[in-house]
Amino acid sequence: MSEFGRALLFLAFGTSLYAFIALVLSNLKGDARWKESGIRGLQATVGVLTVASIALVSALIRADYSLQYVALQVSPGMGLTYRIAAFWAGMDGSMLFWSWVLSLYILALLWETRQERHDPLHSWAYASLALSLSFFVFIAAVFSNPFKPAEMLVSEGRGMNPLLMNVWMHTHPVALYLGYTGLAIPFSYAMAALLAERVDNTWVRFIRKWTLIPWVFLTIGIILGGRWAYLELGWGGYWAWDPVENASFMPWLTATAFLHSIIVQEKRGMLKIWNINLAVITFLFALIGTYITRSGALTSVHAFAESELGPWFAGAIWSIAVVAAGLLYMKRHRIQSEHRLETLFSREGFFLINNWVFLALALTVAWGTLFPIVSEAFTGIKVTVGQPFFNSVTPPLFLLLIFLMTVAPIISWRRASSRALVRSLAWPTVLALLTGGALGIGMRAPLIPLLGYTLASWTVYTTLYEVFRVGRARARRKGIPLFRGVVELLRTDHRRYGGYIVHVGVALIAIGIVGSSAFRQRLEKEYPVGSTFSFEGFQIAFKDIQQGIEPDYRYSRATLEVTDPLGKSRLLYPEYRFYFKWNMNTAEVALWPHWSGDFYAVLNGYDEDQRMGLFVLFWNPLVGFLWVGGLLVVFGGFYALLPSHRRNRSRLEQEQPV
Amino acid sequence: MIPILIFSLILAATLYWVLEPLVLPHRTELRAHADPRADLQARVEILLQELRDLDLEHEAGKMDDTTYAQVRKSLRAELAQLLSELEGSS
Repeated sequence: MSEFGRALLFLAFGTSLYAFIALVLSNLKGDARWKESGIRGLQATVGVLTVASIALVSALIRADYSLQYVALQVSPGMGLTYRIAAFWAGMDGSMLFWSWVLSLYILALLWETRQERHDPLHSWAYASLALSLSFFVFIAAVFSNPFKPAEMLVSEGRGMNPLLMNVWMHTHPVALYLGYTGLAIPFSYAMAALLAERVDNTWVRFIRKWTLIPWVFLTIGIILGGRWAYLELGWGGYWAWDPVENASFMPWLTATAFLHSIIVQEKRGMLKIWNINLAVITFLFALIGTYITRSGALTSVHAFAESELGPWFAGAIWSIAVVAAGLLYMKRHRIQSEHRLETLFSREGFFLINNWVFLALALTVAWGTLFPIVSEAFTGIKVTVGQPFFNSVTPPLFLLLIFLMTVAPIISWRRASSRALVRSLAWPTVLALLTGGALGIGMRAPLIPLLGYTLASWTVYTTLYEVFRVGRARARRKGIPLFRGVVELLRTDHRRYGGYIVHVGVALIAIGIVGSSAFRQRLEKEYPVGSTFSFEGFQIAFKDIQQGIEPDYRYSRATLEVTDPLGKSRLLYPEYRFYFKWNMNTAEVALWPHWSGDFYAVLNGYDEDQRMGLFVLFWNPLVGFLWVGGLLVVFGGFYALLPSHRRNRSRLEQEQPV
Repeated sequence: MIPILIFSLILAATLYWVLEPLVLPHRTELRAHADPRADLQARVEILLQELRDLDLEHEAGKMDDTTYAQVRKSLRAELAQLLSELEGSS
C-alpha cells in the first residue's frame, strides 16, 4: 500500500507539472494539440488523486497500521465517520486532501468552460492552476506523504486528538479547505488576464461565481470553527484572535473586498489594477493561512499539525508576489480605466472606501498574527501581541465597515443626491437610535458597544426599508400587491439582494459579538455536591456527580438542575474528561440557549476526597444572534449565486437611441 | 503484485489519455474562440439593468429629478456608444 500510494502521488505530480508545461507551450505556440494534451493532463491528475484519496481512506477505515499516518490518526474505538475524517485531520492527509479538493475545483472549471477552452484567458488560467496544483502535490509526495510506512508496527493506533473528536471535525475543515483552495481560481484568472492581455471586464464577470463559491465555504468554515471553539474548547468564547482563526479571516476579508470591487469594474470599468491586486493578495493570504497552520511557525490552540514545510510555503508566497508584481508592471500600459471616479459621494466611491477598510483590517490582522515571526527575525525573541492588540485596533474599523455596509447599497452610482439619501435614512436612523438607546440603557453599555448596537440595528432597518421602498415602487408600477412587488424584486436580482441578506446577517453577527463580548459574565468557583448557588439570576443545584471509564478516557459528569430567571428548569450535564493516550484533559460543555443569551456551564475538575466540583459558568448575552446571523450570511451567499431573471430585450428596444 | 499491476494499468491509461492528442492530432478538434463582442454585449446588458434600477429607484423617491435626469442622460449616451461599437464590430 505504501509504495502504491507514493507512486500515485508522484504520478499526480508528473501529470500536473506536465499539464502546466503543455498549457504554457500551447499558449505561446498557439498549438491546439498541446492545449488538449495539457487539459487531459489536468483531468488525469484529478483521476490519479481520486484513486490516491480512496486508497488512503480505505487504509484509514481498515485501520491499516502499516502506514504511519493511519497509526497516528486511527484508534480501535473510532467510528467510521471519524476514520473518514482522519483523512484531513492530520498534516500529511490534509495536504493530499487539499490537492484533491483543488483538483476537483479544476475539473468543475474545465467542465464549465468546455466550450471556451481555446480562449487564451481560460487556457492561461488552466496553466496557472496546474502550477498551483503541482506545488501542492509535490509537497504531499515529497514532504508530507500520508503513505509513509510505519516506523514500527503497532497493534493499535494512537487515534485522533480528542479535541477533534466531535461532529465539527466532519464539516469545519472541509468547508475551510473548499474555501482556501477555491481562491486559487480568481488568482489564476487575474494572472491569465495579464498574460492574455485581457484585462477588460470579461475575467471579472466570469470570476464572480468562482469567487463567491469559495467565499461561501470560507464563511461556513469560519462560523463552524467559531461554533466548535464555543462548544468544545470550554472557555466560553468563540473567537480568540488565534493565528489559525486569523488565517481563515484574512483571505475572507480580502475576498469580500474583491467581491465588492469587481462590481465597480463591471459597472463602471474602473479599479482594474486594484482587482488584480486583490485577487493576488487573497490567494497569498490563503497560502499564508496554510503556512501558519502547517509550518508550526506560530503557536496556536488550533495547530493540530506541524511540519518543516515553512520554507517551501514561504518560497511559494514570495515567488507569487514577485511574479504577480512583475507581470503587473510589464502590462501596466495595457490597463486603462474606462471612467474616472467623479466623486466619492457615489456608490463606487463608497465601494472604494469599503475596499480600503477591508484591506486595512486584513493587514492589521496579518500584522498582529505574523508579529511573532517578524519580531523573531529582527530581535531573536518571539513577541506575541495577543487579544488586547486586536481588541483595541479592530473595533473602529469594524464600525466603519458597518457604516459603509449600510450606506453603500442605497447610494446611487455615479452621483448621489444628499437629499434623497437623507430621505432613505431618516426612518431607519430614528429606529436605530431608539433600539441602540433602549439596549444602551437596559444593558448600561459603554460607548463602543452602544455604537455597535446602534450601527448594526441601523443596517438591518435601512436594508429592510430599502427593499420595502423599491418593492413598493415596483408594486405601484405593475399594479400588484406590495408583498408580490417585494418578492418579485428579490427575484429580479439575486446577486444584489443576496448581498442585502448577507449585510443583515453581518449586522446580526455584530449584535451577537457586541453582546457576548462586552457583557459576558463569568463565575469560577468550587462547590460541593448537594450545594445550591446562583449566577446572573439562574439558580443552580449541584445534584450529583458520576464517574466512569470509557476505552479512551476517564470522565466525571456533574448533574446540575438549573432554573432560569423565568422559573423554567432544566438538567445540565457538564463533563470533565482525561484521555489516557494523549495525557490530556477536555471539558464537555453544557449549554442552555435562551433568546437573550446562553447559560454555559463547564466542569473543570473534581476533587473526589472533598466531593467538590470546580465549575466555570458563563452568561453570554445575545450570542444566539451570532449564529443566526452566520446562517443568514451563508444563505445570502448561496442566494447571490442563483441566476437572476432579467428581461433586457424589451428594455433595449425602449432605450434605443433615436 | 496486485498493487503493481493496478498502478501499471493506471500509468498506461494516464499516458494514453494525456499523450493521445499529440500522437493522433486528427482527433483534436479546434473549437471556436470566444466571441470578441461578448464583452460589449455584456456591458450593454449591465447598462440596461442600470437603467432599469435607476427608473425604479427614482420612482421609489431615492433620487431627485435633476440627478435622475443627468444620470439617465449619461447612461443613455454610454449605451448609444456601446451599440454603435457593437454595430461596427459585426
